[in-house]
Amino acid sequence: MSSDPLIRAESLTTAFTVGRSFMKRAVLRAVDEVSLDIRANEVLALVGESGSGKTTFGRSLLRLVEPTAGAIWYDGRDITHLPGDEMRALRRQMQIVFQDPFASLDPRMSVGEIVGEGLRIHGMGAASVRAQRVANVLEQVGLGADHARRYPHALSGGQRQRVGIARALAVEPRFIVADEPVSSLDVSIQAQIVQLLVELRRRLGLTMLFITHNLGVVRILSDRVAVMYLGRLVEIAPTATLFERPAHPYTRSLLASIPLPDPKARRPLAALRGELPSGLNPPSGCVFRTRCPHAIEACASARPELRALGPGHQAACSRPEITALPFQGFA
Amino acid sequence: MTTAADPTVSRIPAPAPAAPEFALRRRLAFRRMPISIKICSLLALAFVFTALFAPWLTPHDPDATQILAKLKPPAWMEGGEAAHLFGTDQLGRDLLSRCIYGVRVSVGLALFGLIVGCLIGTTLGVVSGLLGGHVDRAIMMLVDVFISVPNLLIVLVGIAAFGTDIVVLVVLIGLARWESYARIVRGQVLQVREMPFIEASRALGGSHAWIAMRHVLPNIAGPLIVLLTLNFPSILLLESSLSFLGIGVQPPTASLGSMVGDGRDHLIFAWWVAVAPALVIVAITFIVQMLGDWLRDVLDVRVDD
Repeated sequence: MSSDPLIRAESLTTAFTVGRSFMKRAVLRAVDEVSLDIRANEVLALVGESGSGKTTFGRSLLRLVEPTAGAIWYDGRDITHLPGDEMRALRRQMQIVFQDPFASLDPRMSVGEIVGEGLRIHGMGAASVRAQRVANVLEQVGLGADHARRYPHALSGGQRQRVGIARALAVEPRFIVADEPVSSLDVSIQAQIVQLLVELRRRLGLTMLFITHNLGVVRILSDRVAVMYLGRLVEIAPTATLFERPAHPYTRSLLASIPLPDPKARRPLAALRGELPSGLNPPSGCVFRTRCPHAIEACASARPELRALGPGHQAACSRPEITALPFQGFA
Repeated sequence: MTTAADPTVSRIPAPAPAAPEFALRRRLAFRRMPISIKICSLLALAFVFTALFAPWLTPHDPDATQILAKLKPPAWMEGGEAAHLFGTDQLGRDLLSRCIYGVRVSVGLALFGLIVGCLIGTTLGVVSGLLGGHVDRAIMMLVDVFISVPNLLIVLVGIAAFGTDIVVLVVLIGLARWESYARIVRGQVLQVREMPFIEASRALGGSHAWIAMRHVLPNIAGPLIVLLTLNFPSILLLESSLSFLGIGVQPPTASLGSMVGDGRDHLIFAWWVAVAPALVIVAITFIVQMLGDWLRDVLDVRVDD
């Protein structure tokens, strides 16, 4: 694994104005100063509960949503303000697999047209060459070349998601954002798609941002894990480290909420209290303090910065005595 | 907002969206049409056929006058001749032949007008919906202005300014209804553009033009076709009104409207001169209206197949 970052977010912030009242406009900071690197050939998992801003972060990274502040570097180049036509040309190198395999495929296009769309947009080869490429990619994702003539409505959810993956792979991108690619599928199908991603990763050496709330999948697929809470990055670590020594109280409660396969096993319950606070009016200081079992008064005043805890391991908790606590979750 | 992530319980799969109009061709198949629509579509075909092959179908030259045979009644009435099935007008011209040529001129003008209006309106509607912002507001303001001015007035002013050249007529007739396309198309685009497959195309590097042509238009084709059929009768009537008023198609060329206008003077003693072309107008309008209503039902109601 090489260590130069292929893609880097620098204090990336994406805010939406929400027209809540006609007097003043509320601002939702869906992504709030998130900085992270993804190295070439690495799979970085981005986890967090619904509403934590992980999907918005993935879309901002590809500039499908324009970030409000901060910078995006791709391959040593600042692409934050790249003009439209250059950005479109660059999109060949960075692709996305969407969460909803139903709505993300144009019902008027055949599978072959969908998968070949990127090839056409970027003028990659004559029609016959493109058809060959489409057939190859379809085979790569476990569909037959004869699927090219079918329409999305004739496919199952799992097959559609395979088409979505094939569409992203067809243009031979260097970087892929996978936005919860399995969460809207049946459990049995989820395993197949995860298996496919693992295999593709091994064969093609994909660089991927894998957005998910399924921690089980994270363990199988990713090299490193980043945890987001209410738009902020709260912890980032190599996968093994994160599962063995989670430092941030939020990460710990996430891990502790994974059900154990053994029904007789007992462990301290660390389930999260309460609901995710509104992003329109986030808590002051540490955003997690309203649900944190270790919150003290000081947590309300200063915003905790990411603090190095070990090789590649950082967490945004201002209490070193808490992050140093041993994790009991899997006891 | 849901609570903490639960990794084992998968989310209930999203319900499949309403079946897209993929089985369009099958649902539009002739044998699935109700009997009235079967008749209407056959009649519509007959009209198109007559208009296309008018020179070979007409019994007489539509512009040849025959003063001695003027104002002959239709063949089935007393004094009628088999040679002139619909009778003759005040100059002795064969009404059937003139009706056939009239269909050709009127329907042709209406069709071209329809296309002009559809092109202008659809383009502006797509631009408005896709770009949004100031462009959207400007275009919609223009639409509001056009809606508040009567169509006939716009055409009259246009004819006063540019004359009654056939190209001017087509453009003016088309302009008269462009705003209906702009509004409907914009609304459709606003719906379609939020679909993830549009974002997927953007992620692939598709430009606005690419997305408009490849994804937006095919997905709004249904409502657009319905709108075209529903607009056709009013366009045909607009052309007829203009010709009736004598500012549309100029004599001696026969158009259905100008023929009704000619017959106005003889309505009491030779009613057929006005009634024959008027009935043709009614027939065409009715047929196309029926087809339009049927299409709207078939395309808008999303039936699972």
